Amino acid sequence: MTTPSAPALSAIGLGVGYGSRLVAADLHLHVDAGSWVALVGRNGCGKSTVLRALSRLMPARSGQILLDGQAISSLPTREIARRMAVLPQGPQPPAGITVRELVELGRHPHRALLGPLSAADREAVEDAMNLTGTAEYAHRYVDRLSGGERQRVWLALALAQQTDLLLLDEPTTFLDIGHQLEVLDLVARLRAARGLTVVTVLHDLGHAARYADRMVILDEGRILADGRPEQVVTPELVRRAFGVEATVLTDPVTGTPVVLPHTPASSPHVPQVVRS
Amino acid sequence: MTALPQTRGRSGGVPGALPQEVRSNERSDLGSDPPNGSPRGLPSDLPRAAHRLTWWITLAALLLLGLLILHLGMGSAPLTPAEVTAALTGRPIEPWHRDVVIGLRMPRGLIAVTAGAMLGVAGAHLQAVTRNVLADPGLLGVSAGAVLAVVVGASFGLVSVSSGWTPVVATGGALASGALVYWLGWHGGAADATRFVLNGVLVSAIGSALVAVVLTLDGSTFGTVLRWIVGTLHARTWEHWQVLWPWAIVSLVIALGAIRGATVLWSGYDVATAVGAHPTRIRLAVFGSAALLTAGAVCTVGAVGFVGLVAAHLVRPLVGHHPARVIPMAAFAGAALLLGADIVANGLTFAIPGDQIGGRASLPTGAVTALVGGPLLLALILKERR
Repeated sequence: MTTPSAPALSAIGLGVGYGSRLVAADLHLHVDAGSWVALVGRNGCGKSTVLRALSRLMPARSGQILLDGQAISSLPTREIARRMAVLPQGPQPPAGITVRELVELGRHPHRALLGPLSAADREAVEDAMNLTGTAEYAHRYVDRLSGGERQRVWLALALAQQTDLLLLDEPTTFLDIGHQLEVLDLVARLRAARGLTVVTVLHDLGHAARYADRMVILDEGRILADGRPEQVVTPELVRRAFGVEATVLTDPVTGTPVVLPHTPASSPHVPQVVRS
Repeated sequence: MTALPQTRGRSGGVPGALPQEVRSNERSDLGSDPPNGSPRGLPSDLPRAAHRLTWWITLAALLLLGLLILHLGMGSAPLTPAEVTAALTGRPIEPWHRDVVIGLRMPRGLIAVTAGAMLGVAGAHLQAVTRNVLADPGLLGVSAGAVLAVVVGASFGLVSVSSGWTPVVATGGALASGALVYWLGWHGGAADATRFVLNGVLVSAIGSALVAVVLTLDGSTFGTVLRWIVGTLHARTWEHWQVLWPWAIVSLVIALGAIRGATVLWSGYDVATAVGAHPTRIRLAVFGSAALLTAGAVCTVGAVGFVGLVAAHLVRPLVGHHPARVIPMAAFAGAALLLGADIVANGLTFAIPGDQIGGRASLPTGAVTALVGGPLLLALILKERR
């Protein structure tokens, strides 16, 4: 079924959009098994939309998404959920659901139509809660948790699906810097432990460069740059992608590029900040 | 009302609220935990009863049986619970007790229990899939569609209240108005819960207006139909029960089968899709089963309002919010509510002195449920606003 060289997830000639607006047209992207690919770009560049199309949360207008070489349009959605977990952007938990009850939903694609959770289901739920450090508040209501705790609970739901492929849409939004790093560190550890393939949409270029081993910069639905972080994070590409003049330095601790933004590159209406 | 949910909806999770900040009245469910909430195993937010659902269902069933015995004792010839029990178990104290209890009063009691359960389940289901604590068959326009269909059918002489075809016609109306609300609410993809209820109220208003028009065209049935629209259990016989029970069994089985789907969709549209469910199919299945449940109930007891809304809110403080617990418990709560409302309606009717039994005006049961449900709805809306 799967050849060893086949990418875990591919977009071939992908076209996707809302209403009459086409966000991306004829996009080609291959995600190799075991890699961490970060999709970055300015607001409205289409990175979230592309991730939603990759994870069949949104239908593709044209082209195909291949999961292990098979078109997702021909796969049952339950079967997709057994191979690919996706955490949508900023999901709202229902009022009064406990952590365990939410994580149990991750077993939905594995369960029979009727009947209680199996021993394997319960084990997967425990496992996911232990890995994410959420087991201690298993019976707390998710809507009473802090943002960082909540994000780990959502991650536990995705892990309970026991997939090799994990897609995360801006998993660090609304989190403070400590919790941002905590969530990304957790994903990095899980990836190492389970050999996961990870695709994330990230806002922060520094985070993307630090955690992902490949970055794809999107601009108006097209791929502007695609490569290892140190190839992609350059002053030239930052200017083209974000319209920002920036200095790119190397993080003395991690050895990955960090961006120091200075001024918007082409904004005549914004007064120049006088630097002393 | 004490039946309000304990959480403040989505706004409950204030960023920065640490799990250690546990309210003092919350107890630990994980036996070995220190009471002050240690890092390992924090206290449960779930109400105590959530872990003992079977026990609570048994208790609810016994409570319901007690209410039913009380209900069967009421009427122009009051009977004590002991007399009712004796008549039910085949050893009536007076021979006529059996005829009164089983022949005359039993259908009314059974209909109240069954229709109440159906409305309770429909309300709890709709609240889960729409993620809206204001959802109710009456508020979403489903009842209004059923009423309109039956009134139109009756004015053309196609159906009567005790005909086996009535629920079919009512389901048609319920589905049509439900579909209209669904289409208005989800037109364009975005699901806005508040707009959704507003659409339901709009469709209900149009439905009521059309009912009034049909009734004006054919004035002969005005009085009967009007009372039935408010919702009444007055003069229900075994004939009505024959129409209701097969319908109730089929629709309740379908609704119970849809609980898993409703739970997944309760977690949100994107999350449901992500875990491999079909949100649109689930919505259609739940709406369909709610239409079946509502139509069956409306045919026999009329458009009794608020039972679905109140039932779900009554059980949440007991068993928490999970649809797998709320929906079965809402069946008992709905049954108890309608039966209780009928006891109150019956009691008030007989408390008012009158010369003769036959010509006595009876208080519609729906008026009693509205007196309970209206203030609850108001309280919920004020709570949402805050």
